[in-house]
Amino acid sequence: MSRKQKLDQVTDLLSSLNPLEPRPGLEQEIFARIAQEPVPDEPRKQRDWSWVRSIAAVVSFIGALILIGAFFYSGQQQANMSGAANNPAGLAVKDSASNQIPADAAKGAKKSAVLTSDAVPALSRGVKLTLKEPASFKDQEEAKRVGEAVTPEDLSEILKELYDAGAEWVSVNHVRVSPEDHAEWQGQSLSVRGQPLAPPYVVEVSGDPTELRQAIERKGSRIDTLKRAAKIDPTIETIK
Amino acid sequence: MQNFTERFQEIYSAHFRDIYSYVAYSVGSQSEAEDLTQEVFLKAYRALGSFRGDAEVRTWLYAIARNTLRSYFTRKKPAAAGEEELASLASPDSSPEQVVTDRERLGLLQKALLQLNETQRTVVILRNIHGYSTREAAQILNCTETNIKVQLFRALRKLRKILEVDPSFVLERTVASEEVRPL
Repeated sequence: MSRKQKLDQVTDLLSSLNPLEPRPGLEQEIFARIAQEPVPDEPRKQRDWSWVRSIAAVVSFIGALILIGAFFYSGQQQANMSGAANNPAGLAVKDSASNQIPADAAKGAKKSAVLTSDAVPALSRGVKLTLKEPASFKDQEEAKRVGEAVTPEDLSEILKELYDAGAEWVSVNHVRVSPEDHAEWQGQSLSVRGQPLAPPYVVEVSGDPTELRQAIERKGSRIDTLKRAAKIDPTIETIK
Repeated sequence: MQNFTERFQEIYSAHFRDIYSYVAYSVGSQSEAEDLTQEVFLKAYRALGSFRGDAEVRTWLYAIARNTLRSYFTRKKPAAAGEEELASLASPDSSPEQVVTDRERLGLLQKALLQLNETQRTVVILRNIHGYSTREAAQILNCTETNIKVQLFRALRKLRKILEVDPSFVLERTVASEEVRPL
């Protein structure tokens, strides 16, 4: 006998069972008992909260956007403040190569940080050095030829010496330069950071005036050499 | 308020016998069945106001009945119904001779049903005794039709193993793979 046949036997047996009928009168008895129960209070009509949920969802979404925006804004502010702490002048930090470095990097690279040329602050404490080339030369070409003009190597060396002497920042003709920047010829003119410079070269140096002045006037310094050998006339002005 | 009573009466009249039969087969005792059926409809009466009509009334009532039976079985371990109680469960539509003839067999079948678990027993009652389709049974038990078929197959297999160890039934004996409690 197959399994199906066996199960069919059981099914046949079960089919002999009928739905059980309650004893006569039971239905009425039970209903009468239940009817004695107080009618339950009608439940409060369900309020439609779908619009509240929709508004809440929209408000939550907007709130989330505001929070995210605030988070990034505060992060930006913090970065700016960090940059400002490292650059008392409160200027934007830029990398000499890419013109853009993160604020954290700027913290550790104080000396390498430079400011854009149009953002050079007023010098409040330091020295102002003016390098005046001899006026007797008919043109720059001749000055260069006889070695009595300020060369890119001279200017680069001067900048290095100033930073070594503790300069906080240095600008040449209102162009901020870092210790890593190098002066170079651009046609007939000197240039730093791609910006041409015209004599006289006004070098503003922020820092301790005494130390800076000692470094500039030190015998054997680049300026001292220029003064004696190339007849460059440096003017040093102390700003306190 | 009038509407509430009328609505309940309508539901009560439509489903009383069904629920009673289900409860009676589940507990195997007439007196217990009467009390439990009353409990089921009392709960339905109290909860009718909050019945939202998401499900069919029949499904809702069976859910109440199943919960009531679960509570009942938790309170009291189901005991095999006595001869007298089983006899009283026999359908009054049957002829006296048939009642006498089938009495034992029905009683044993009833006892066998009580050995099934709650879900299997409910499926057998709905499908084989009350004659609901698989779809209707699935709707009532809030499960899939496949699940109903699986439960029914297991229930029939178990019933067969229970019944074939009893000489009253002329089922061809097979080697029972699982131990069953003799009736």
